[in-house]
Amino acid sequence: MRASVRIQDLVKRYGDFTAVDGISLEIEEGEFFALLGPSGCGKTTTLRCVAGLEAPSQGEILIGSQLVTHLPPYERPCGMVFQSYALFPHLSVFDNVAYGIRARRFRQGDLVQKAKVLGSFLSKRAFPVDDELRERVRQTLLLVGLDGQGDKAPGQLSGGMQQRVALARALITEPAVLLLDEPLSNLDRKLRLAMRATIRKIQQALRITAIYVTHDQEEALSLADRLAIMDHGRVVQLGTPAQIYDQPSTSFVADFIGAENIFPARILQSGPDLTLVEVGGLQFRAATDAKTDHVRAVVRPQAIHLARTNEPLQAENLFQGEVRFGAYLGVTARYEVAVKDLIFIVDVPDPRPGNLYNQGDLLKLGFAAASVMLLEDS
Amino acid sequence: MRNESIWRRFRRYWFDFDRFALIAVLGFFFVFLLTPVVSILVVSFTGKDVNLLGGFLGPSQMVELFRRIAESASINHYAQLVTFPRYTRALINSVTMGLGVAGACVLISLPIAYGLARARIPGKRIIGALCLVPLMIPTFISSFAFIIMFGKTGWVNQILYKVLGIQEFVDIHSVLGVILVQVFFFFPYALLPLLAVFKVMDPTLEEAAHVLHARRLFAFFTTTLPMAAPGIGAGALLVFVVSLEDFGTPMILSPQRFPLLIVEAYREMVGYFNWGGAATIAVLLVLLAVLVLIIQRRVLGRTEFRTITGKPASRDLIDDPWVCIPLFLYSLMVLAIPMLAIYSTAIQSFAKTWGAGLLPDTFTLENYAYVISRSTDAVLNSFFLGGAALLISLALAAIIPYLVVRRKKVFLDYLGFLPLALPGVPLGIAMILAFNNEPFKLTGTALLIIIAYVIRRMPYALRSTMASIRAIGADLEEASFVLGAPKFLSLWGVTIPLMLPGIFAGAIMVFLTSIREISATILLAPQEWKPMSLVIFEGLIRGEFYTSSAISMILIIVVICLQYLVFRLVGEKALF
Repeated sequence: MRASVRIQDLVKRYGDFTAVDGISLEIEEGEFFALLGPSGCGKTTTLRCVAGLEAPSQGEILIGSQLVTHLPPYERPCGMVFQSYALFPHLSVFDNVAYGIRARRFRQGDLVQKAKVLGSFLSKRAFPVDDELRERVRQTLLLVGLDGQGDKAPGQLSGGMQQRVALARALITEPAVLLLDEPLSNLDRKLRLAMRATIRKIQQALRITAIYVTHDQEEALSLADRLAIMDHGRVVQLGTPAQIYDQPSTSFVADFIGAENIFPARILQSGPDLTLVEVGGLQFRAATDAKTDHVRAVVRPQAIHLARTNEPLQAENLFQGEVRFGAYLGVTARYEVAVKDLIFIVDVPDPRPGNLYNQGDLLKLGFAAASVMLLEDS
Repeated sequence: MRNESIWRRFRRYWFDFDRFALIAVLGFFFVFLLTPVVSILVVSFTGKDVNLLGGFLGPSQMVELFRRIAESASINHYAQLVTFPRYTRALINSVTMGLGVAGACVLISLPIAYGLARARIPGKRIIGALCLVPLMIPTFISSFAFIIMFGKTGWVNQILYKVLGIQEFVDIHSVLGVILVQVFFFFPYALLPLLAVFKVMDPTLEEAAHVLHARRLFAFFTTTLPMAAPGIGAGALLVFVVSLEDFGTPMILSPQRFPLLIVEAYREMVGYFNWGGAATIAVLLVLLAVLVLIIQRRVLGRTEFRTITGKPASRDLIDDPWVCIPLFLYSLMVLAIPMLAIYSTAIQSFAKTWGAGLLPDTFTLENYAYVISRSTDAVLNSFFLGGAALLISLALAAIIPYLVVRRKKVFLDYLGFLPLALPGVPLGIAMILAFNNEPFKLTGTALLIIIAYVIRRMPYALRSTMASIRAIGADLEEASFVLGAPKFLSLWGVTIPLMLPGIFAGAIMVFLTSIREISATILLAPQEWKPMSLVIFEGLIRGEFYTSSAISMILIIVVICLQYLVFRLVGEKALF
């Protein structure tokens, strides 16, 4: 069973502080949706409202066609993976994963079933696991790649494996919506990449609706079908990863998804296809129009090309600068190039001895007018 | 919507439960903690008994209460602290002795702590466990054991006389005797904080000192010791308070011409019925304890000693036999004395008569037979009083941390730790002064002594549960909710099982400290409810040494078994 999630005008206030300030989102069935933003932007609070762990101050939340705004968390069809994993330390991996099924039997079963569930926490021998439960836990552990680990205690497992247990525990009840709250932030980079793929594959296989909270733009862009960028309790931009990457709506979004060169700009001459702006004493040609006077000129590090002074370089915006700092990163090399008072961050792909520069080198620096974005200052 | 209304009703119920719990807890603290403390304060000025609680019955009673206080208030009793030499000397004696014992305890603990934490000494686990045993033995028993060993006909004295020709090694009925007992039975209080700092201290610093060509001993004094200063301070302060509060040792050894505050307070109360004097000394004792607590907070507040489990990797431990063997032998030597004290009590309990000799003339089981036929009541009383205190503490220790941690009533936390500043004798005096009048006359009832146990041991019970509820973290409960478990199942399946060890450990600590308690007991326990500790104490005072030793052994064994259970439940952190 899958369901869409609708959040309408959600507001959450803590005293004077407004954590979520009127958010409306429609998340489709089977969609992988990411909430991306800096810490304190309200993304986790939004997720907790969906889970029922926070009561909204205003607004409604619908899962499928059911209004869940005032339902307690245990009556909502949600599974959740916590940042801290929140595995029950006194229960084995098996019992952690089985918890959701037992809870459902407790809620929906008759008195005998309720008693059996309560008893199962007291004595394994007097209240043995039935075949159905054992099989479901086995299947779920298999799904996350933890087959045969059921008898271990969570504390005996590595961070990545604990994360898989948390995922299995959230998935076993086949929830309509899977909520993930920065699930990978406690893992090292390599494990993070592997777990990212695992999560995406499982979501694809089950076609489950997923809401994923993160502050890592790379994670959000690579995982999500659509994402919302949040700041100060509001959604700043909503779209597919490509839309957001190519057309950030504000300089905040551009900054957040890694456009390093963001300069305050003054409009000199504005036209539909070509705008001239003044940036720190330089003139940029931008192949776009500006809607307001207060804009920022944004150029991605990858969009800038470098060449030695004796080499040819064609570009609509062409300057001369000096290398201040260089870092070789393998796939790319990153340079800080000073042009007058501006410092450009430039990524050079596929660095080889021929195009490695040293500190102090004088270079040509150029970029196309089409790669200059003029964004509203936020 | 049906679901919605159930959920709302449910929340309203819990909200009300919180308020009800808060009012009940505050009421308990007001009646049984604040009123007694204010009572000793008032009586220390008025010199005669005032019925504080009675004043709340109505306006006329309140007026009468104020009239009574106003007409008799004076600072005479405080003036006596200066003018009455016995009081002045008691104050000076208590403080100097406390400081001396604290210093001695730190000194003898340092090598043991260093060895246990940083060197690969043999039998480390056993030595560590044995170090905790002295804390479990009530001082009136250990003092008597010292008489068996070092008294005029003591067996240790006999050995020393026969081997070395020393006549009387030490006069046990003297200040020195009191200090010796306290040092050898209180040193673990200094040892445990030291152990904690040595364990969490980064051994690489010391290694760095070695690399700089410092000799090991030099490195110890210049690098390790200064860094252990917080641990030394914490241990010394703790020992100081414990020594100040210790009632059993000076009562049993009764050093001549050496008045101590705690004994004077008791004498004024029970011997001379001088309530004003007793209250004044009690206030003084409380103030001293408060002073130490403030120093602890101010100076050591930033340092946490609870991370006793932070064990360094074994490769960091010192292997050098020239360090390990002396430390090992030294630890055994220090531990031998309290162990021999227990051994002496055990032997005495099986002796028919034991004159001047290494062993009794004849062994017998008669003492135990006598105890079983005559003192079963005392054992049962102990279990009843301790058990009742355990149950009340269990309720408070479940509710207070819940209110503090989940409902943010932080002031309850401070209130709950206030009894740390209430030594047993002042608490006993305060209880008598507060509950000696109709209609709140509780003196002479079992209830009053039970509540005194609860109040006195509240910090232990609270610390244990507070630690376990803090460790749980709200996200586990939340995870349980999201997984579909309603509130009751979440409590049953997650919260309670995780809190249980801490709550049990705290409650058992209340029980076992209650059954070995003497100072509040001697003031409050009614004749028909005499517990084991009081029966032993009175037996020792009356000279019934053999049977008293037999009951002592029963008490020691019960206490050690329960303490073992506590360690199994929560580990060594339960001690503090």
